[in-house]
Amino acid sequence: MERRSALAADLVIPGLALGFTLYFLYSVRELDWEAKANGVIIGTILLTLVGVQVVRLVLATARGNADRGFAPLISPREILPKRLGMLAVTVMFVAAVPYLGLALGLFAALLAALLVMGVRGAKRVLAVALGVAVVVSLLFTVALDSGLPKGPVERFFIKLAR
Amino acid sequence: MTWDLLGQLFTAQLGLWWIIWPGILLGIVVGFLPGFNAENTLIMLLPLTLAMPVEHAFAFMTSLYCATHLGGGIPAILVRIPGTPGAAATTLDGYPLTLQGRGQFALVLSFVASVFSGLVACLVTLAILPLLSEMGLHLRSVEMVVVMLFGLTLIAVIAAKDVLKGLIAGLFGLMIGMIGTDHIYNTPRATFGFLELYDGVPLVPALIGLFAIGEALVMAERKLIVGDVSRQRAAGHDWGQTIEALRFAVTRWWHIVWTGLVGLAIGIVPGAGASIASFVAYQQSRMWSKHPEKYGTGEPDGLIAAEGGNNGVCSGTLVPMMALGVPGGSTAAVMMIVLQYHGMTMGPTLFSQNPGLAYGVFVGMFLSYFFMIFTILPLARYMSRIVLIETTYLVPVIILVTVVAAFSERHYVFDMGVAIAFGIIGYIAHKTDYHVAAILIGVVLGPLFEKFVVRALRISEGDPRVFFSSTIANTLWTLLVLSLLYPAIRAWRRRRKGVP
Repeated sequence: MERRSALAADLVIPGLALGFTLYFLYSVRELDWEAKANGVIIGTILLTLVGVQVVRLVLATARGNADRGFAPLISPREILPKRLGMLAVTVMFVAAVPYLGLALGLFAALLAALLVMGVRGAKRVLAVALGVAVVVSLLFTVALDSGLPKGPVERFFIKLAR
Repeated sequence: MTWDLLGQLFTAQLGLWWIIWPGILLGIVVGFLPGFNAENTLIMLLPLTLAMPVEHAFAFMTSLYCATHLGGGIPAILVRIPGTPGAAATTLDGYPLTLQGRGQFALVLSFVASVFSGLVACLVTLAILPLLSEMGLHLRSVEMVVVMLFGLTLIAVIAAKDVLKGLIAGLFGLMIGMIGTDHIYNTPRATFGFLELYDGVPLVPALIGLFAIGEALVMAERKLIVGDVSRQRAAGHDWGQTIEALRFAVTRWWHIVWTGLVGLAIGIVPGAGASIASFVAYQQSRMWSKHPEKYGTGEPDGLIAAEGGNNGVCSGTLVPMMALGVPGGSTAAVMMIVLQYHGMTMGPTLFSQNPGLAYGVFVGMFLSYFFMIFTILPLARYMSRIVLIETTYLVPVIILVTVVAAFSERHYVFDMGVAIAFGIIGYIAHKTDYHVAAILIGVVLGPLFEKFVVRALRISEGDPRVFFSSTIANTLWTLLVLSLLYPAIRAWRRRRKGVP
């Protein structure tokens, strides 16, 4: 089904593009032409297209063919807490992983994330979180040696191996 | 090259099956995992490949390389997360097929298209290798700019729902791709004060954020990836579905062949790579299709084209390395390091001094693809069951595991944050129909495009007419404009004839 345009929601990406382009052009204002030529060319075209999109959406809204709000971004509303919760858990995981290490950090984050998503049953949540954390830790640290931060669990096993 | 030599090479490479097979298995796993690719895996395995005899090392590296291209399409089809940037175009029709409960069909079709386009590209490369190698010599910065633009303009055409949104998304991606130090003076631009962005935007976190995190946040709306009817169809898959897909693939053999050749031709262009190849093949397939309106809704030909281009590119990227000593991509560069360690000199003399190695590489690649189809095909039935897992489990696992994978490219925790930022952009783009793949392609092409633009302008002392100064560039410009106009002209002709 075709989605009805929503003025505010449809202007978020153009808004980000506009803001970033202006920031880019500001950051290269004193540089030599080689450092800004491509940015000026692409930025100018992008700003023009954003202008066209704004005009198009405003006209569509004025004619009653588009809504004004953010509906597509926040619908369905009952899922919004889950989405925001998942983002919050992910941000906290990234902040904590240098201290907790991959295994413990991922285990804790998965526990929280599964609960946020509505999975219930202590055994089930623990089993999934533990299973995924063990497999991912083995894959990324032992098999692929990807240099992820080490926490108490990794340090314990390193000590054990010695 | 004589038939005798070819026969000897096939026999010799067949004897290396014991090293080709582990390469294939590892490659499929690596391709499946966003954040890992042939390049960083080969770097990690350098101690192993440097210790091997050169023929063994090359057989292992090429089999792994080809398998990553095939493996990247698996998550692209099942959960709309391309394992490698080259598989981004695979999501366009692969994922809608999964939503229809035809995940197994899509997987088998993608495997067959990957393998046979790879085989065809190997054969063509073997036949006309010295001729192909000369193609790269004729492409300078000016021609490269047009080739890049060709990839970029596809963005608008691919995002057919709304061309303007597609263009904004693609150009926004291009602007993001310019973050970092410039190519001439190394002065930082638009880095928000982060040292970690001086080398540019890391591609793996961008890929993970735009596709994995953005898509997972959208996925949370549904209980399952597929609807009830599709779930029943997915749950009931048996071997008959695999055979049906094989039969379909046979009827589309010509489509596989020519999209593979598109990939080969683009692979020869140094730096162009799989992401451009797959989108160009996809766009060309849609342009010549009798039903272009079905593309993006689960059209099997679209899936074939994307995977054909993605795998045809494998042989192509090795051509400039073997023939000119210029690696066609980063993976080829790693391979070249291994060859140079073993005392091999790349370039035109390789074909006269060591024809066994020069042609043996492509024979080995041919056999890798041949082994690959028997390795992967039986697994399609079981892989497609992933869509039966509830999203309450899938969403946390996808988001958190791919955020971990974002760390793997450069080993910065900062990159995990970059993935989250791109995840939010990806989510907004998904929900408002700004094509996510367009943003990604912009980010991927950004640095390369700028390099060639600035190089061409420096050569011409700032005169923009340089972009129209060569016959090849002008021919490419004409083809580009024609390919953009063709869908509109055809639609107009259909309207005139009264065809709906």
